Amino acid sequence: MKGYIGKALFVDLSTGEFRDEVVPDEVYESFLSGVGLGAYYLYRNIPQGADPLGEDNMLGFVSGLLTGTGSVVTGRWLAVGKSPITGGWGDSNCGGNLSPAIKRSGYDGIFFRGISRNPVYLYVDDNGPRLMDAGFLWGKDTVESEELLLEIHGGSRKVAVAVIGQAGEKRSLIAGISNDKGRMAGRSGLGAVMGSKKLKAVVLAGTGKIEPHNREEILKITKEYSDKVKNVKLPGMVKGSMLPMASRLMEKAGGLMPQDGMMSIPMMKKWGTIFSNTFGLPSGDAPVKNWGGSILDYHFSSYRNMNPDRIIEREERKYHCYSCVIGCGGVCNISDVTGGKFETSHKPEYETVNSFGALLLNESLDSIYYINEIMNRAGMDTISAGNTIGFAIECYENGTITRDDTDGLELTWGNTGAIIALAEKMINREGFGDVLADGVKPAAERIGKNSYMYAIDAGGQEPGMHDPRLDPILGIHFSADPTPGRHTVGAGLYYNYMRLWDFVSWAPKISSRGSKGNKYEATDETALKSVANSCIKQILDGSGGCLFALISGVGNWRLFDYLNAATGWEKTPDEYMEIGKRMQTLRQMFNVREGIDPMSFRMHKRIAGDPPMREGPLKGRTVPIEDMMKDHWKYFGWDGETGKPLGETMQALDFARLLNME
Amino acid sequence: MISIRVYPGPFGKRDLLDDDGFLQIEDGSTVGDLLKAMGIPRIVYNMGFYGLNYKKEPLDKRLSDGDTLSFIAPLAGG
Repeated sequence: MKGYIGKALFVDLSTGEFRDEVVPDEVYESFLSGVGLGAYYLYRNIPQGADPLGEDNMLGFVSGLLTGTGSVVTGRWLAVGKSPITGGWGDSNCGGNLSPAIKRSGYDGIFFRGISRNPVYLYVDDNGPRLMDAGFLWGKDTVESEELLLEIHGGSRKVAVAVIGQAGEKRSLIAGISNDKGRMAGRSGLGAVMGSKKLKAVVLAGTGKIEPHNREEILKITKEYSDKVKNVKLPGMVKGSMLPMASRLMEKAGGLMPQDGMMSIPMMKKWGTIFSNTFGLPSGDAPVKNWGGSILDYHFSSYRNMNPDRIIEREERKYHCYSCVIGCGGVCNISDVTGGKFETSHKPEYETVNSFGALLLNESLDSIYYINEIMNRAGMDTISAGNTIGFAIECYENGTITRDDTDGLELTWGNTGAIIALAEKMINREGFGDVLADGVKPAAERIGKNSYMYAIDAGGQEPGMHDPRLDPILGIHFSADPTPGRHTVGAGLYYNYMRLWDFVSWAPKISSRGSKGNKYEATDETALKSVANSCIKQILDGSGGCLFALISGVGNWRLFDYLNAATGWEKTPDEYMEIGKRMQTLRQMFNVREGIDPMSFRMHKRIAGDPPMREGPLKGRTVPIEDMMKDHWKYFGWDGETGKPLGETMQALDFARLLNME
Repeated sequence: MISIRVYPGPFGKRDLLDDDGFLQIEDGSTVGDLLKAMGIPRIVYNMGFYGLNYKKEPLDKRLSDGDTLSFIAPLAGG
């Protein structure tokens, strides 16, 4: 009884064989569960040089160690596999109700290899796993497919479904995996891996129990945190229209001071992530015009359309992911703006709003509701798709491509009709949409000429909607992580909210009086912060925790105490951070074994401020990204020049023994 | 004297805090006393942008040693 199940399922889609494997306790003590369990198995079982869309790649669905233990905000699962975008380690994190269903079905992880001859789905209940014919689902979108599967297998039982849409079936490299009818594990292109295996869905209907070591202690922590979340509120008079002013105020005060993360929760409760729609623009956090513009190009008269109050007016209901007490999700009625084509849709996330709004100078919120829903149904990552359309528009505006290339679309900034048409073409891999359907890097390779100048990526992955020129530590994570371009790994801002320094002996303390440090310089302190961010993120992804809970502060959402109560391990925060370091190092070892040069993941020079912006809130800001990446690697115990884990570090982390355990 | 942890956000005199964010204030002080001492603009606290131990409390609420007083801290994220 340690919170985890202690078993993994292996499915060979080529032969139709199943194999259960008992996972040794030491694997959990060394790598936790979730992404760590995934890295442990995939590193050992994917042969070097495997084609990401071939038989030898593996695709895993992993749950978190804390999921289902009585802890809260710990209901996230991850897809793991070799990424067809970066050619290295891939993972993608999602909420909803799938994570507990993996464990209730008797496993901490379900891993697939091989390729099925015909489309299939995996069904698991208390009688074990079965592969079922999915021919009747192939070609259907994620929502239709999930509804049909629930009709067949649901009834009164708790059944969870992960499924791909047309994007995954067509092996778009920016395809994700959906659950709960449109929540998306969108990054790393793992929907394409699922499509390449002809695996349409995973349906989980087990009813097993999840037993922690000390449920009473877990429930005590849960109550303490839940009470805080319940009590903390925004004043009733606060409106979305006040957010731009609040953004300016926060930015003026400077970023280098601790914040009470718990006080970020009321915004999430009221709006969800969409409060950033207007909050992120005045400070320069939200990218504009394919990362080359500012609010001077997309000023208040444009972005006020994205006021989050307008979106929640459409909210028919709010919802919480499994075990979440914050509840940032919502379902919006979009019938009127889609001509009755769709009744409802998940409330668009900020990432989607900005990817298809400010990034493209698109002022139409109605178009974003529609695009959000068609992307969710197709199973295509909105961050990647928005960035790729931004790239195409910039190519068109600069004459690199013409109407002859775009199937007659006039791809100018803010042309809503053309943006919608192109999104539809990408989903269907039709005409010019096929050129773009695999993301910016393949698109630039196909278009050639000078188009690479406009292809904003990090290691092939399109970056999330936060600008490293405002937060350079975010740029380190965009560039130096084994999964590049990801806004959820870490940032200077997150560090200031988590207060890790109260628990971790080596995490640099931020003085409450404010620091005089220059965040645009590569320093030892900056590197230690980014290393701390990376380690805690791995612990989070091994636990099934949500970033928004982590950011509310480790003293409030007591992750380390939760883990000890679940497992009975009694480890110190420093010992957990060492596990996080091991997990991160294993992901990096995966990439190095694939022959990836870690420096090649460096983010596009435009978003490092080369050349610097000439106007707007980020004017003149440059991030010395290569120096920062090198320092980050050095403090991880990796080679500071090459980013390759050093032998002495791998020895200290005991890899030779751990990776060869039977 | 009692010790109160304060997160003033973008407002007030941060140099009154120690490195860990604590303010020493006389026993018997209220929320209002602390906000005034910190130089928080009246409009900000009258609008209720703060929480005492994450709850809404009136300005005349008496403080206890170890309390936390913090202001709304929006975070960009997705």
